[in-house]
Amino acid sequence: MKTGTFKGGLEYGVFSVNEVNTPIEELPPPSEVTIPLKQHKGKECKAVVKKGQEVKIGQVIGEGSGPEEALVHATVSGKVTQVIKRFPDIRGRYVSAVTIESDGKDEWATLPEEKTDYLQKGPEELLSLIEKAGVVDFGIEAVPISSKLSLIKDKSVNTIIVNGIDTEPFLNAYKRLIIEKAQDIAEAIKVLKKVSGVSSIYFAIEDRDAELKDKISSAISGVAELAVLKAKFPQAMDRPLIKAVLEREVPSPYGIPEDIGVSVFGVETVLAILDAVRKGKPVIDRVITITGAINSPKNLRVRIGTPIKDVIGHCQGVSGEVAKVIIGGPLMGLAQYSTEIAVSKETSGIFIQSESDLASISRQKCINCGWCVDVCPMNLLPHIISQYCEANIFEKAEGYGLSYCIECGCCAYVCPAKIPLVHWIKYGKSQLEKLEKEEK
Amino acid sequence: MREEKLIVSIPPHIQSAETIPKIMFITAAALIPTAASGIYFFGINAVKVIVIAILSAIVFEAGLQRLMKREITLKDGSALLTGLLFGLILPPTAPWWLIAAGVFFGMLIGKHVYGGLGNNPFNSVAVGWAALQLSYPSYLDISESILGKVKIEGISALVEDYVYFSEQYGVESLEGIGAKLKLLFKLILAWKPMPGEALVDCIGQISPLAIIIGGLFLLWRGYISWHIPVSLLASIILCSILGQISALAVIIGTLAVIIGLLLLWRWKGHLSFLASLILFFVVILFSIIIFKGGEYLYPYVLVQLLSGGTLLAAFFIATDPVTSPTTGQSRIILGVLLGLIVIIGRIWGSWIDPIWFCVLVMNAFTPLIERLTKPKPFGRLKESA
Repeated sequence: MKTGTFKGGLEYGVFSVNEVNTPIEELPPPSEVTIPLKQHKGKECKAVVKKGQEVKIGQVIGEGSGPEEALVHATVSGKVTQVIKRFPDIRGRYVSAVTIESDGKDEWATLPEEKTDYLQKGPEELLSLIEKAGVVDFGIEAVPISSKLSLIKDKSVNTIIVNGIDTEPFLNAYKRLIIEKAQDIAEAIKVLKKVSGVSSIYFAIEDRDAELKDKISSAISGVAELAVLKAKFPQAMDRPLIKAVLEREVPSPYGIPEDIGVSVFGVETVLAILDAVRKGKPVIDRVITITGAINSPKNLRVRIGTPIKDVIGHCQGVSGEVAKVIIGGPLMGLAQYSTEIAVSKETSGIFIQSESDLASISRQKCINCGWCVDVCPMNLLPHIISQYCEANIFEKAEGYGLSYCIECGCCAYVCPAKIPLVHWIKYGKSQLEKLEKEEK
Repeated sequence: MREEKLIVSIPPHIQSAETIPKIMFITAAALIPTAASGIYFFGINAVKVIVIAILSAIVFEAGLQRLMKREITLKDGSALLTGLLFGLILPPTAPWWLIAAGVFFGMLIGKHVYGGLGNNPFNSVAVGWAALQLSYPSYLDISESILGKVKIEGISALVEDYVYFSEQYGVESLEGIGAKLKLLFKLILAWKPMPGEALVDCIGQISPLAIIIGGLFLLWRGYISWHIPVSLLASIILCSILGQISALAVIIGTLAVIIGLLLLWRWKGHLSFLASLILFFVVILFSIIIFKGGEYLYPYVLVQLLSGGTLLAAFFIATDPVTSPTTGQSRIILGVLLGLIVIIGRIWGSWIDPIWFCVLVMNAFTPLIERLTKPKPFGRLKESA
């Protein structure tokens, strides 16, 4: 067992977190799903179904052309009612989407079957199964597994970290997955070893839960080394995570973990890989936590394409006046303007915020208290960067490491003056990009 | 759920409960023991000074903001804190007009001409005090206080001629660890007047214990970091010992610590703190070995460390967020340098306790220190350094 931590970050003691510890529940298939055709890093997929066509679960409805794209599958059986050109994704950009009206039968195109010989297969064969299942590394980047695996080969990666830490302390889906599927995770790691050819694997969890640690440490012994890290946000992000587990720094601002021979996979991702090779099951659902100002917070297994209003409805609706619906957690999540948005491979949770809990900003000047400096995991001076951005002096801000910022939001969380530091930093980054383009 | 009302904004969507008014009011609350000790020893005069200082701070803050057509920010508590601190660094004999004039000057030149809280490069309390010290030194005279006696007559006079420690504290000799600790504990409670004289000192500088309680409370709450108190107090100890040898020893010793710190920081991140601590103790050990008047050294260091404005500066004024640097490394450098110039001023300067001037000097150096100690961002490649 390994322990470790990184500099800065927020200890969980500072939040008033109500952990959602309910077992993962299956959300009944919705009557209609809208499946975005871009749920991965690369370009949008092309729809391969037409309006009016009958589809079954697991049938491919979108195909990409490049390595950064993953297949998109139907997640309910029924009739395609629409192929929409402009459907808002979680970032507020428009993407194409396919709307399927459920026929209620929930029929599979090919029913997933448990096989036992999957570990005998060669890496090539396994890879093609994973590609067919459209697995991406779940999260906001959503890089397809095939693309990650080719990076592993190209950059001769020798260490993989399987991340069992939820992106934010308010979300508990990963934790529930580990508790409920510890044995499957061990199997999944074996598959990952085989398909990637990497033998040194770490499984990262936080030290806040004894049950979790016991479950996983007995399940993965001999398969992967457990790394128990001090519970802190933003540990689930690649840079702090690799620092905490391996004591190594990913080159910044533009490097990727693979540059130092490390690759990171989420725990839900490795389970999806296992499903793909063991059962031939494509990605049709994700486990998400729904919490915040909601009547019954839950961990739910939700079909991709389910409108978030259905998810909210299943949790007995919201309590009080709702001000924000956030995809992800409250620290890094993206506020949505509509509850028609669909759950996608990029969605890790839904956080509902009521009017009374809204964060405020003020016109108070920075008082130089240095709390943002203490919590910055990138060792920056956020207050100075933000002031330069506010004053439109972007070159100076860059001199203080503007582009190193990973936008974890710790600085804006602790700021006693309630300065929207992340806002100014994002603004500075976009303006700097513009300036650089103009120069060229 | 009303769709059209959903708010879209940049994350994070939650914030900590800490706010600037909270910091100000809690810091002011941490000064309550200090103010109480002042009132206990000086009685109604101390109450008068503190109340006048707070009231005039509030009046001038609101008045100046009104004049400058700015938002009136009495609710943020910074005027209250400024007034309270100002009252605590004055002697109880200060007349009302003097207090008001000092607060006015501090508020105007120390704060509002720069644009208010957050913009001021100099600590407004220290600015107000400096104006009074330069204009009306006789009203701020503390030469009859312990620090003044030590400066004018030396520590040996205090022990031999006045028998201050034996008469007031019952500590007959300073031989042995037991007697030394006894003296320390008794001195920490409060400073006493010279035998047969009235107590002369500033209101908030009488009871070291009260200040330390407030300071520890702030440390525990996380409103101040340990860097400035620890480095300032350590530097005061170091420099007052070296000061007994020669001025050159003070400067060389302190510079050695700082240069060592800077070099080691570049060389190997967090080891530098440990290394500078070791260096610090080596210097202390060295100076104790070659120091001749050994028996008076201990009470002398205690006077420098616990009397005057040292503790108030360490916990409340040098740690003022607006005028102090933000990284741990730069805070340590500030503390060490501040201790150095305080001791130089106390030994060779013409004022009894020039610590607030020294705070202003270090305020001026803060931007430079910050620039020199800009932290290396996470994962920066060597070639782009």
